[in-house]
Amino acid sequence: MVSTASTATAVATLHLAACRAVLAGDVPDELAAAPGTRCVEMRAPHRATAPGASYAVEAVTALGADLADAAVFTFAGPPGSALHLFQAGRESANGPLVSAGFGRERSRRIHPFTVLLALQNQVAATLSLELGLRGPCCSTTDSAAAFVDLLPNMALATRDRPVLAVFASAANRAEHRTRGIHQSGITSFVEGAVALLFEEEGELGSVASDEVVGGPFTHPSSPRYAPVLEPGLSILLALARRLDQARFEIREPQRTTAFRWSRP
Amino acid sequence: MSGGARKRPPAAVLSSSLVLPGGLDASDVLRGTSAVTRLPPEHNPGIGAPVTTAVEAPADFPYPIAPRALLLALEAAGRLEREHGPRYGLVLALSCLHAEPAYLEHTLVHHLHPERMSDILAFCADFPLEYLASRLGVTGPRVRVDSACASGSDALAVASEWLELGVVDDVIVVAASSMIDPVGLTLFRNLRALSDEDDVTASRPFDRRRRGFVMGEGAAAAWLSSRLPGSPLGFVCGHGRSMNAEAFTAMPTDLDAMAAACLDALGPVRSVAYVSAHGTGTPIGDPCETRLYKRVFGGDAYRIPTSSIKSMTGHCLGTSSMIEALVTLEGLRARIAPPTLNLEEPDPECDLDYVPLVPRAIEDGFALSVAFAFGGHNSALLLASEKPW
Repeated sequence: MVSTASTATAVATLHLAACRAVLAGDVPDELAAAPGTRCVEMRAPHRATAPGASYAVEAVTALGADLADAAVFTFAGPPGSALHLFQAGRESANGPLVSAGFGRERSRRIHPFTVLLALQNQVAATLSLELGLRGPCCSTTDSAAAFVDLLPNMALATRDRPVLAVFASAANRAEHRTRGIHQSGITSFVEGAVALLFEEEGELGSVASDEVVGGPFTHPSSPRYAPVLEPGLSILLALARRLDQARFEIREPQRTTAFRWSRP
Repeated sequence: MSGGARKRPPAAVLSSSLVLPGGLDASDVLRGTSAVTRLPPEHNPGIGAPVTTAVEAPADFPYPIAPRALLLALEAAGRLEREHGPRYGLVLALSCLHAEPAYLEHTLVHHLHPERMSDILAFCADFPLEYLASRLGVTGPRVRVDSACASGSDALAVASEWLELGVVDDVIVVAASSMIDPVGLTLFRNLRALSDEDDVTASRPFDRRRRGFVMGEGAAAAWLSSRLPGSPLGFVCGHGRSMNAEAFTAMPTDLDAMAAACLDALGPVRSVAYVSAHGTGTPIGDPCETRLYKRVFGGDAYRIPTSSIKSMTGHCLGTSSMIEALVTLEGLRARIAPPTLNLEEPDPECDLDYVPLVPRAIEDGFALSVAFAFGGHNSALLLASEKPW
């Protein structure tokens, strides 16, 4: 699946076999109506499972595919906020969280599951545990633009097995909303998960990296703050609009990459 | 994603740098020097293996609060000797920034104050990756991986794939972890993963007295290339990854997935000169690992020198597997297996050659470096000091 273009850099093409999404928050109508999309209420953490991981499990389950040996690439943003788990410790100190008495007494009030919610491989781990995924896994964090950079790795993996790419985040929380509004000025927040199944013979459409950044690209219908979900939402948009050709830019605070979509 | 030496040309490791606990370097670890020490008050447990080198944010750092793990990453990257080529890739393994006390304290107080958010943007989104890329002059592909304690090994695997595929000719890999603070220790202590002993010899992988891991911190960087200028430090000859699908924190009862990762890394290679074990010193993990090596190597497992440098560095979490891989390459070049320190009373369930207490001369050949992580990630690397084919 990896072909060498005229430049020295390999250009990878992936073929989409299925797409499912579970979205919450301020979901634009266009995305809500996209095929394979389900809109749900925003979720709270459940025991050791962060909302972002919960959305991801539901989106991947909806694919209805046998993925036990699939290669899994996860693109995780904030899986939720674990801030509340530390709040009591700070309030009981009536001052900074880490201050006299923290190590011996107050630290014991922090729930043992907190570390699990704090780990950013939470999405990959929960998918594996809940759905029995045992294949190779590449777990990335805060790297939506890297979706384009990892297309060759995904294309390599499709030679041997199906490839599951999952974008998941739950950033419609006070901690993230405040920061998102400060950074982007956008007040419309989308969270959830998009699951893409790529196979050598996938027929829904093709995704290929685009070295060029800048120039015309397909715009969403309205601005939204959805960290790390954008590559998945872009493909969802292509499916919703039944686009034969499109070019998407993945714009993160520090970096922009681009990919092309085409439909047979 | 998987596959061993048979399919792919090896990725050359042209240079490396380590920021180890206690100011150690690779040769200290090969000799058996421990960095485990007593920690300041408010740290519970009161022992750990901290980095003692002072790290500070660069004068032009754009935000007032900097993640300590990112500063460690910058320190390791800054020490890396390399040529300045036109288009490098970058793989960064950097975990758990949002559990650092500085982030938590600021966010707990100001999470409803947009005007204060710029103070902690260095912890957020793509800043850590892109800041490091800009400091290093990286313009090629870049990604931040996070598979908890397998992150460093996985980062080397992703970089190797880019080289194998011709995406770029050179990749910088950087890993860093810092949770040796009151909050980080609490998170793992409350999960009962840490040793509760107030004893600087408490990091005891494969010893029957082991009671959990001792926290460490550190950073590592390496320049990987598909070119062969000069004399490389060694080669990443194969890599394998899998997930256990069994438990978040416990080791699995079914070893199939762990074995698959090791066998993918090994490819056609059936035995090795040395195994760098994950070896955290947890009661359940070490016997599981012992069973794994018997399964992967059969009867040969008993004669392969196998050790855990976490007995000296503590468990450096997301960067541990990269530190271990780079120390293993140094060991292969020197033909020395580092010892498992504090292994004075071997556990009968851990009955392989775990190189107790003192270093051991090893034969020329391959080494397998393995990592297992919370969440069920398994990652293995096949390493060699000389080009094997």
